[in-house]
Amino acid sequence: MKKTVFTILIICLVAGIPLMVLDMNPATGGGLKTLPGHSKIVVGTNDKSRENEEVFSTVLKAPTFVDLYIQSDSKETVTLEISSDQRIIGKRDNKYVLYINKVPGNSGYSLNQLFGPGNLTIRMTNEKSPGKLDIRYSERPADASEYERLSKIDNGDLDNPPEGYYEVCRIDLSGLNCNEEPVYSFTLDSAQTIGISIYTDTEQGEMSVDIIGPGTNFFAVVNSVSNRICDQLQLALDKGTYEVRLNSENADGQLYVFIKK
Amino acid sequence: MTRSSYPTITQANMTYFIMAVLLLVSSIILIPILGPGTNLWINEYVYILLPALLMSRINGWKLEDTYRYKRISSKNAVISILSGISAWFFISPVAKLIDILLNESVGIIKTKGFTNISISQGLLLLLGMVILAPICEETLFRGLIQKAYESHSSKHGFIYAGVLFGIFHIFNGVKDVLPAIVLGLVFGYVAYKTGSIAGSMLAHAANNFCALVFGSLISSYIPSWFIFAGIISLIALILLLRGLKTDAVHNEGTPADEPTGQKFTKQAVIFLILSLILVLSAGVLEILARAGIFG
Repeated sequence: MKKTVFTILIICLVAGIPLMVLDMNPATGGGLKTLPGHSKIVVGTNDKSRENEEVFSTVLKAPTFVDLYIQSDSKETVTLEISSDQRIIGKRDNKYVLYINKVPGNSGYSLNQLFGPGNLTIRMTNEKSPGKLDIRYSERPADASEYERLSKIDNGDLDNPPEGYYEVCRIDLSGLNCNEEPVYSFTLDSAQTIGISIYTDTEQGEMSVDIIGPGTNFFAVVNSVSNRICDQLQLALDKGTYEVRLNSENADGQLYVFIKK
Repeated sequence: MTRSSYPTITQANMTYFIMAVLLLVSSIILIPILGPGTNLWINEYVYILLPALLMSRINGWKLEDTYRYKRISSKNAVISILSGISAWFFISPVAKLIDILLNESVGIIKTKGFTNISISQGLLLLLGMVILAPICEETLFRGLIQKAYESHSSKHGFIYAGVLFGIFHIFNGVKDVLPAIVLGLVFGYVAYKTGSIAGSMLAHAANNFCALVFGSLISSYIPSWFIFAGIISLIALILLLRGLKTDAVHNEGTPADEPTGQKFTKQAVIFLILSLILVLSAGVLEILARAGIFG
């Protein structure tokens, strides 16, 4: 039996080592991947240190959905600032700051965001270290009326759900301090896809909303700092009971939840 | 056979402690760099199998005698595989139930996790779970550790090793501890009864294979028929384990022939306490993370 066991272990090694090498190889398994349909911005981090240096800029002539997929094999953390001329819908300000660490395999940082017309700029801060940052960029036009609807929500007119969605919950956040407090629950008798939209206009304090179900959890689908609008989130859910839970501390404003079943 | 042919409880506990420390530290560092599949292979080969083989080499133990690398009869092999399958259908709803209870009573861990893994990593995980883990973990837990504890109590040695095996799985999550203890007891009993770790390797492999193939059935909720299947599986498991016989044809000597009465030394107790502090700390951190106290 000893011979059999060691034979199996050796065969496993013979099969496994190429798989590990393959996984580390950028051209095959892991490393930085090519994403079809995206333009490519590669910035080496080995040439110099940068301090908020512009690495990409474009002018959006109309409301546009921008997809960013970012990978890094740099040893040091790279900071990316993605900023717009206008306030970004769902955010309190006009920029995203991403801290990009080295990621293995197919993993990466992704950002899908609707931007209004104007300049879109990506700035980078990094220490000089071996490696590179790989940014894949693509854009697709957004529907002007949809942009207008979301702009209204962003400006505090929360009662603007998409077509087919109905209100299930409306909460005044002022003076409400809670942790994982269920504010709405629904039960599915069979597996199905539902749509959910959650909006808040909170300007101060901290709040977030989680969707918790049997084995399926979505955390901070809405949060006060970076994402105050969760619009038409499509969830493929198993049967069971799901709760929309609120975390709130010194927040103000309103919270609206809309569902489409 | 002389006493030196067997691992002592001190050696077993020391190996367990060193393995747990290295595995924990290494996994924290390597998973983000190499991915979960490659990390699993390093854990199994380097931190679980290698220490057991090194101990055997240093002490001049024969793998066939000390770690019970012995053939088993076809009947015991089939019973072992069926035991592994039955054990999975029994313990998986229990694990899910514990998870749900922890989620409801303590809280949910908010982790980013891996959004996806490459095909290579997936294959490494599959081979690692179904082939490597059974061989490497059985060599350490049933080969070295159980053998050491059987020298304290031949009939109950598998219980100590089974509990240590279960507690070690706290690194996979608190929810896995109790089910893994049950699995450890099943695998340990198979090794004890057959006088070989071949059966426990087969049972372990069958159990992990079921986890991969059927795991998605209870990923989000426990179907009502699964509760029924769990009860039937428990009955089947007990009947199957009762059907195991020592393979006198293939194995010289039985568990009853081995030395007993080895005492727990001070060092053995110290290593056991250190190990428990380490693994239980991981459990406490998880509970704190669930409660939102620790990020």
